Amino acid sequence: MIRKLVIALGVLLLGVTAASAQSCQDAIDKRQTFMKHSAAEAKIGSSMIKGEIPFDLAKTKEIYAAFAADAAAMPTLFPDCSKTGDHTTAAPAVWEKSADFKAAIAKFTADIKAAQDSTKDLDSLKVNFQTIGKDCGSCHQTFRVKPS
Amino acid sequence: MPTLRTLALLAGAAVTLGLAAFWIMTLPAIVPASALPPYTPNLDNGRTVFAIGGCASCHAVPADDPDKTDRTRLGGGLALKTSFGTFHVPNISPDPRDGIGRWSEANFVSALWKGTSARGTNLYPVFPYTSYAHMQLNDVRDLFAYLKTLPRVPGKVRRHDLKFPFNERRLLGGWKLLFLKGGLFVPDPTRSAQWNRGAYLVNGPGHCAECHSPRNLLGAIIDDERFAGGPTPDGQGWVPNITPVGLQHGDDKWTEKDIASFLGDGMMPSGDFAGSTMADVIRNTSLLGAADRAAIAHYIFKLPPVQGPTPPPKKN
Repeated sequence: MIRKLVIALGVLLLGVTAASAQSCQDAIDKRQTFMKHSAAEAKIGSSMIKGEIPFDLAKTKEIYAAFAADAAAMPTLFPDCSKTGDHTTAAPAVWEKSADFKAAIAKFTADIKAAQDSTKDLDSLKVNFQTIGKDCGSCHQTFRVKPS
Repeated sequence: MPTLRTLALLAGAAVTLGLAAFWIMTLPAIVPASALPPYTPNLDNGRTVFAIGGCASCHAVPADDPDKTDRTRLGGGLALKTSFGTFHVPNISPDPRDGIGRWSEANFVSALWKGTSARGTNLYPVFPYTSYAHMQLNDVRDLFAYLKTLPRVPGKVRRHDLKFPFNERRLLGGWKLLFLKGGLFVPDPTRSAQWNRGAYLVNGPGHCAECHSPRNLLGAIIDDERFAGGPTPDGQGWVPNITPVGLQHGDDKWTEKDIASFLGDGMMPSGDFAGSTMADVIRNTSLLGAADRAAIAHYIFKLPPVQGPTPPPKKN
């Protein structure tokens, strides 16, 4: 009886450990998917600014929506256990300077909101993209390392 | 037949001569004031040289939020961790006590061209005089004049924290003999004016190769692998190969235009934004004129392909 209980507990524990390891790697995979999506959308906006494709207001709304979804998800996607894991490029600063990291995401969020409210034409897109692009670069400067 | 005593005397003399020769050969070189003809500096150009030189990236007083760094306050203090120890970036604001306020123009030219401080000591090549040595004299003088207009920032920065023997500045004289290949930039007449401008900006003030090349055990750039990337000085990251081997590889190949626009806004062909120390380089290059960014892009785009060291495998 006791033996069965111990085995059952053991199995349960294994399952829990596996599940949490899974969710840690999930967090890494998810944040990378969000970031890659944002990059792909940013590229479209940048092509409009460079005049490679025509300005399209409806499309800019989709771009900002992608950024907003990214910004909203980010605070939940860096659990302590995801400091290391497959392919992660998150810098230790994400956890060591977590208040700064949150502030950077808050600024990103606010700048997206402002861009959503003020983008009407190519010129306003250009101005807003400059601000948001600086957010991207600044955050990557402190909170990302590329080990290879 | 020489006696033991004669032999000992000869050996002693040889050692003494050797030491004297080393002492003389490693005397820190300077540029005398007499080598500087009368000149009226151009402050606008000084500001441009300041931007491409990336002075603020190391010498500005660091802030927690990189966007809040005041890039004109050059009080130093940034700690640069390397395998030789930790370098603490000095104050180069015009403060007369703690900065370079009392340096003469010749002192400044000596620092950039010869790696020699105003006190006549060897500077560490973490200050990239191996690149600055190629700068045109007028650019150096304009830069000095521009630095003089920036705010005085009091506060001496602590001394470097280096392991023996790297803490012996005199030995750097030997390093310079081996690795400081000075000489002003000489344009290549078979290339376009744009290519030459790019080559000058990249190899002189821009000192791109200082990060984008692998280094040998003595910390000098491996010449055959210039621009082929390598580990960051702290060993934590990897600097990409910017020859075609790196830029024309993978899904997102770089065009010349991509490089130019990247230097303006930091966006790569993938839509990703540069991070790490390159994010700060972009803050500098975004201040250049579009023609200078295009020239850098042109030169980089035309670099011959060079295979560099292999980055560590991605963890799978």
